[in-house]
Amino acid sequence: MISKENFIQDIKTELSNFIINNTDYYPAFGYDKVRRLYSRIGRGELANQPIIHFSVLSTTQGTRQPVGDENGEKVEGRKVYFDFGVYTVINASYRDTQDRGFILDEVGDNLKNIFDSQGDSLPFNQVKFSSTLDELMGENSDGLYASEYELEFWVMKEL
Amino acid sequence: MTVRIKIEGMNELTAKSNNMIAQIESGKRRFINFLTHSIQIDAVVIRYINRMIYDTPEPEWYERTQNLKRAVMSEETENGVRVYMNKGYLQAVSNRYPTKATGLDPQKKGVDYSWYVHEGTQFNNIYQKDVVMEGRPFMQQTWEEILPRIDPLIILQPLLRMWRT
Repeated sequence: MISKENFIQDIKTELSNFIINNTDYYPAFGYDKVRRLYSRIGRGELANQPIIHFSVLSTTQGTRQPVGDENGEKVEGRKVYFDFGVYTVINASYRDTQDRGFILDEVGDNLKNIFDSQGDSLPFNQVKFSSTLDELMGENSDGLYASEYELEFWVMKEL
Repeated sequence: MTVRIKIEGMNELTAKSNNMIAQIESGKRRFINFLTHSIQIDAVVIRYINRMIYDTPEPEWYERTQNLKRAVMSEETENGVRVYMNKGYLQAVSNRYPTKATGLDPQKKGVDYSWYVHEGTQFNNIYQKDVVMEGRPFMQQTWEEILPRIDPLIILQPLLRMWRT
């Protein structure tokens, strides 16, 4: 259960730590951050690794219900359903001898494996990570390549 | 002399007939709830706008696209769901943040930028050469995606269930 103070920020922190602890990828919550990370990669301050860009598509408020807090006390909570767009992002020079589509496919499979096998360590329920597009998207104006996925789960929010 | 005709089930028929409008209203609310919570039209719109960020070669695209994402609005109405772009917000940011590639056309100040993104336009840039922007029909794509998922029979389900029982 996650408290209502800084609720969305806490969700993002959990996701961010999950990516950092289980992969070599960089998490980002906004394309501004993706750009800043690639600026630092370009200056040699960071290793060139894939970026996982999370974008909130929707949050849906579920039913209110009594739940136990961390001290075992009964408190009121509410299920909140999250739907994130997830973009796995690489640039042209990351493992530059290999096909961009092959690498992005590998990154996506790796993420799916991690969410399937380690997802229980997150304070989320019914975590589902799935692909939404069969093909990678073309090179964008910043020279980046991406594939799109979707991450769905629900959490109990303490009211 | 009086002739009395007794129709079997007449009272039930009358009660159910009187209840038809309430059942249709219930079906309508279920349908709107389905559009809002199951289909989540605004989430589909945002996904198409996200794809523009990663699938578009024009420079300066992102700042505008981010504004598009922020402008997506969704609200339930009496008879459905309305998903639209907040024109006032887009006009305000259009005035506030001119961008090199597209924002320096004086004629494009204070305009509904979402329309230009959807339909395409030519920016008469006063600094650089003019920019032709192809249309990105994100609303049309959203509509085409959600249309097969919309089941209007949901509206009739409470009514049909009432008649079956």
